[in-house]
Parts: sequence; C-alpha cells; structure tokens
Amino acid sequence: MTLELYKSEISGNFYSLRGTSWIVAASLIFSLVAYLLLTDKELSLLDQGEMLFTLSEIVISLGTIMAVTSASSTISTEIESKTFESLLLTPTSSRQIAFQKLLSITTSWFFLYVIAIPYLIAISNGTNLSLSSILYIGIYGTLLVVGFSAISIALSAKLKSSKNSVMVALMVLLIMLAPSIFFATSLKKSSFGMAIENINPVSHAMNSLDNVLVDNQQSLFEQASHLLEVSIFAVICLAILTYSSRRFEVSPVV
Amino acid sequence: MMAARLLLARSYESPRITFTLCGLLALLGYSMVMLLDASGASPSSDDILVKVTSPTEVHGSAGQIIRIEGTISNVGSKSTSNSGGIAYISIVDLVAKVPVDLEDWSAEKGLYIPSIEPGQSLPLEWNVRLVKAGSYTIDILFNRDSDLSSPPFSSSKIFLTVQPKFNLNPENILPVAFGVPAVLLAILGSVNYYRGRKTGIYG
Repeated sequence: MTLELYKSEISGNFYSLRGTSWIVAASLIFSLVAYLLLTDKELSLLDQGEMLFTLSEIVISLGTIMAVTSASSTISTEIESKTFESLLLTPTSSRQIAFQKLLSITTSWFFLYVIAIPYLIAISNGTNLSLSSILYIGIYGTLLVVGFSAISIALSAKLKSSKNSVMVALMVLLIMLAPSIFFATSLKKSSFGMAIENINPVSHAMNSLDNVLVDNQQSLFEQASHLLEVSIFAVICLAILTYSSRRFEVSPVV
Repeated sequence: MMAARLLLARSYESPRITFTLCGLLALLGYSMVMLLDASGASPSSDDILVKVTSPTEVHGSAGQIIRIEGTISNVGSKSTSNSGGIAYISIVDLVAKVPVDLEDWSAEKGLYIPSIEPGQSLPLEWNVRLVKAGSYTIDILFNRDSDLSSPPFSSSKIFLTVQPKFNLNPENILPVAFGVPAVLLAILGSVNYYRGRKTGIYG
C-alpha cells in the first residue's frame, strides 16, 4: 500500500501559504494566551502549574476542534465535488482511504502540538513540569484527536453532506468538552456531573492533566486509570471507522 | 406663614376644612410622640465602637492573602434588643479613587451580628486576597438593623500597599509569544517562495 493519498493531503495542508495559515493562526492563539497569562491581573496570579493546565486545555481543545472540523468534511467534500469516484477507481481500498485521511489529520495535530511545545517550555520554566506537560499533552491530545477524527470520518462517509457532518461532529465534540470547560466546580461534584465525567474521555484527559500539572502526580502509574479510559475511547472509535469504511457508497443522499 | 393664614382663614369658612386641619395637627402630634418614644428605645448613636486590631499599615504582593481583624463593642449601658446588624469591609482604590468590587478580593463580604450586649465585644475577621497592585484603604463598617437611615459606624482606616507579582518571567514569555508566529511566518513564506520559484510562479 502506498501513501499517495496521505502525501497529497499533507501537501495540500502544508505546501501553500493558504494551506498553512492555520499554523500561524494557532501560534497566534497560543501567543495571546501566553501574553494574557503574563499580563492579565487575575490570570497572572495563577500558579505556574495552573497556567500550564490552562494552556494544555487550550492546546487539546484547539487540536480536537481542528481535527473534527477537518475530518468531518473529508469524505463528504470529495463526494460533493464528485472526486470520490475517481479516488475509488485507484487501487486503494475504502479502508485505506479512510485511514490515510485519518493519518493526515493526525499529522496536522502533530504540527499543532510541536508549535505548542515552546510555549509549554516557556511557561513551565523553573518548575519540574516541562517534560510531564509535553508528554501528557502529547499522549492525551493524540488519543483524543485519533478518536474524534475516526468518528468524524465515519460520520462524513455516512452523511455524505459536509454541512451536516461538520455540524453533528462539532456538536458531539462540544458536548464532550462542555463538562471540562463550562461546568462549574459545584456541578462537577454533583452526582450528575460525576456521572458525566466518568464516561467522558475528554473529562478523563483534562482531569488527568489537572492531576499532573496542578497536583504534581506525574507518574504514569498514578494516571493509569485515566489513560486506560481515553485509550479505550480511541480504540472504540477506530473500530467504528474500520467497520464503517469497509465499503464507501458514492451516490450522495438526495 | 401666608399660606397658613390663608388656610386658617379658609378653615373658618368651611367646617370640612376645619376637620382636615385638625386631623393633620393630630397626625403631626402623634408622629412627634412616636419619634420621642423610638429614640428612647433604641441605643444611642455612639454606643457602638468598631476598632481595627490588625496592623493599620499593610504591605503585600498580589496573590497574597491577608487577614483583617477588628472588634465591635457595645459601649452603651442600656440593654436593648435591637443592637444587631451587619459588619462589612469596604476597600477603596486610592489611585483610581473608586471603591473596589470585593468579588475577587474576599469571599466573606458581610458578617451578620444578631445582637451585642452592653459591654460585650465581638471579634471580626476577614481574609482578603490581594488581587491587583496599587494603594488602597480598608474600613470596617457596621450598619445597625434598627437604624438603617443613619450612617454606618466605621473603624479607623487600614492603609494597604500591594506590589505586583509575576509568576512568569517576561524574559521567557515575550520572546516566545512574539517569536514563534514570526519564525513560522518566515519559514512558511520562504517555503512558499522557493516552491513558487521552482514552479515558475515568481519567474
């Protein structure tokens, strides 16, 4: 199996100034956050661990939103622009198409993650959290991006409409992000909040990062339960993509 | 005076107006009696004393939590049931010349005191988080339940100076915050330019 489709997707993402504008936009967002952490009268009072946790939430949220938006239109756009038939005529199976697209989206996440590393190092300077923040953001970000992208690609192939698949995928992602970002502490501690957090992979990732960066529980053993939950989520999503991509239909839904 | 004379003159003209005038005079008399009665029942205005017991000059840095302590005493001799009220602190920004919104500064804004017996003294305590650098004054105030229209009792002022605190070093953050987007733009622009030259876009 060659990776021609993957290479073409990557070249589309990185070899033109238009295609790479998202990289600059992401770095500007990280710069703005870092600047606010330095100068804002309330944010600047946070401990460095809490600042790192804030940045890690933003890196993972941005990565997953970017991945979901991109993945949820990846097949449907080909169908809508009538290029999918010619793609299927190449000696590449449906499953290979799906997984090469998943790989290209994961590569985009990797670039976003690499851009975030200087910011993580700068903010964690003087603490023992640099390596842990880089390691755990890498692990959780990759697992969540792979999981959400796999689901989004499956949705895109199933719905055959970019508008619908992007909306549905973003809604699913925002519902998953909501407990970590929008729930107040009191709601998180209620039985409803705890139940939601127990089944939500994003909450597991964020709570684990909180434990590592704020509570200084840095060993992998201490985070094993969270890592396991997020890994199970990624595996289930990959299984769904594997099953749904065994044969793609070309004709759009009327 | 003229209006009163006119009213009196007219009151002779009509028995109804005479009746109204008598009613008004009776009301006035009743109000004065009630006022005298009320002033006799409530504690006098100088029987509450609010004092600051913590240092009156505080120097801290942003993020630090300081403790404001004081006492409230009933120095009157009469036993009254309505000497309770609310004690609270007020922080004024001396530079901006505005009172500070206490939302971020203190979770314990007001302390309700049901009653203070004559001769009794109660401790008051607030934990205040220093949010923003600057110069401030802090007052402890007490509003009595039974006498809401009168001004609050206040303590002497605490003078507070808050120094800024930086958890992050600007020398580490600013080069990254400004440098990374600039470097990325330079790299991506160069790649795009050389690719354009290779494909003949730039001649």
